[in-house]
Amino acid sequence: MSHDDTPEENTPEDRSVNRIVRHYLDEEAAREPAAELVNRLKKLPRQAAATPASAAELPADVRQARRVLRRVAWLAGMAAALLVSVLMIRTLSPKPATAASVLRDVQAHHTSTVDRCYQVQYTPVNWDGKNKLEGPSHSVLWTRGEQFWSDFTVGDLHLKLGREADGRLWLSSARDKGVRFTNDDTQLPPEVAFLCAVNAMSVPRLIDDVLADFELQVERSDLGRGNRATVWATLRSGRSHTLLSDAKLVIDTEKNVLLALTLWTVRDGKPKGSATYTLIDNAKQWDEVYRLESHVEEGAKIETHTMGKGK
Amino acid sequence: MPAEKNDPLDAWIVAVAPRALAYARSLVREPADAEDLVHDCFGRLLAHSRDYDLVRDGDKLLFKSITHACIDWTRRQRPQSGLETAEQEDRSSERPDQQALRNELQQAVHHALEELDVTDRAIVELRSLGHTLVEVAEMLSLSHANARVKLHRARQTLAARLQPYFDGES
Repeated sequence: MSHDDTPEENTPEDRSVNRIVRHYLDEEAAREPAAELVNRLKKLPRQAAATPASAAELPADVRQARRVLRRVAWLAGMAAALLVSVLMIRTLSPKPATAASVLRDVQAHHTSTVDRCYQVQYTPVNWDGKNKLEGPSHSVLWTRGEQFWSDFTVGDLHLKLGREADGRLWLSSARDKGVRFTNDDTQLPPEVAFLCAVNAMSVPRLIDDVLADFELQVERSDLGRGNRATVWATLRSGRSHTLLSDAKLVIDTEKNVLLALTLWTVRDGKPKGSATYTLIDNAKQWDEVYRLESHVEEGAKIETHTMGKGK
Repeated sequence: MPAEKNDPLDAWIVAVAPRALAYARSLVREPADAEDLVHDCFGRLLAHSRDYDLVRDGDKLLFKSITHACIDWTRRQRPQSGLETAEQEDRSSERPDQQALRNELQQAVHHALEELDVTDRAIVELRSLGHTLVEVAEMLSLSHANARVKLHRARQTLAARLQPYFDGES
């Protein structure tokens, strides 16, 4: 490689961009050392270490034998490449049955009493800023089957939200007060229902919805990182969903764990925003952590609300 | 390390892998997928290591292979709006502590590059890594003139975004 600054870098601005981008790539290379990858790369199968230059020094009969062997190796390589291509095409093509079975395994695993913690980011689309509860938010979400609790921030609001083992939802904006909703989710006030939907993803429920109304496509990637599958879910033609248009689920197919999730949300058929969930912890949690009482101080005022939809 | 001193291919891997991985990450924006793609490209080259002089020509061959693999990968992904891509994909693939470690300039360059089409991003980054424009054009199967125009436009876009960081530069 040569690094001539002319004629492609004609201006100081060009040179600055060049240097800044190079600096960025150098920093990125240094930021996450590639030691693990390097170790795996060193173990990759390779041909003999000799290079074409050293081959010229070999006797003629050895070179002839090498040429024959190389041709055989090339043909074998082509056959292997063809086989790999066929396998790649198979793994990248739509396979609804496989995607569904992957999701069912994940659903079964996430229905169990295993705790998972996700970092959640919600980014609205075309948000007018009027309802700040629908603005950009971020949260830390703990889930266990249908139970969850979420510590989230939206604008200048800091809230805690959860669903207890008996299905009741709760909300707390301060240590000295909280509210518990006796309604089921469909009867909640729209703002609370939206917050629950976005910040409190339930994997079993989500997968029920996805299996019922969405086209599924699975991509597998087994290249040196264990078994991982990405499932794309797109709303089927003629179907509707109150919240979702698309979803992307990244799954550890060995452990049946949802590693990451992106949801594209809609309202009245129009894009509303997107929420991403990234698995960050799976430590066993205390049972009580999913209850409102664990998030308010002793003697806090706890109200019970039963409200109709839209009130 | 003794092994690297004895094996020039190992030394080449150690030298080029971090840069190759950073480049692939920047193109596809998904660290795990970038690592898979880089692993795959190295695998293909090393499987033919006797047919090439990788110590001499490996950088160019590797970056060409990675560029094609990343562009193909990116085009297989579903289109998203700029806002969705810019605001969520990088965060979904980074832990909070990783994000905190990025300094302001890194963040700015990260997001500025993200605004570019993947081919334009590849051109700017390959050029910044020291490949000549002729090499870059060849890697991307573009004419030299087309590559030059794309490089110029991409740099203008980046310059507009990164102007505040030019103090002390040039």
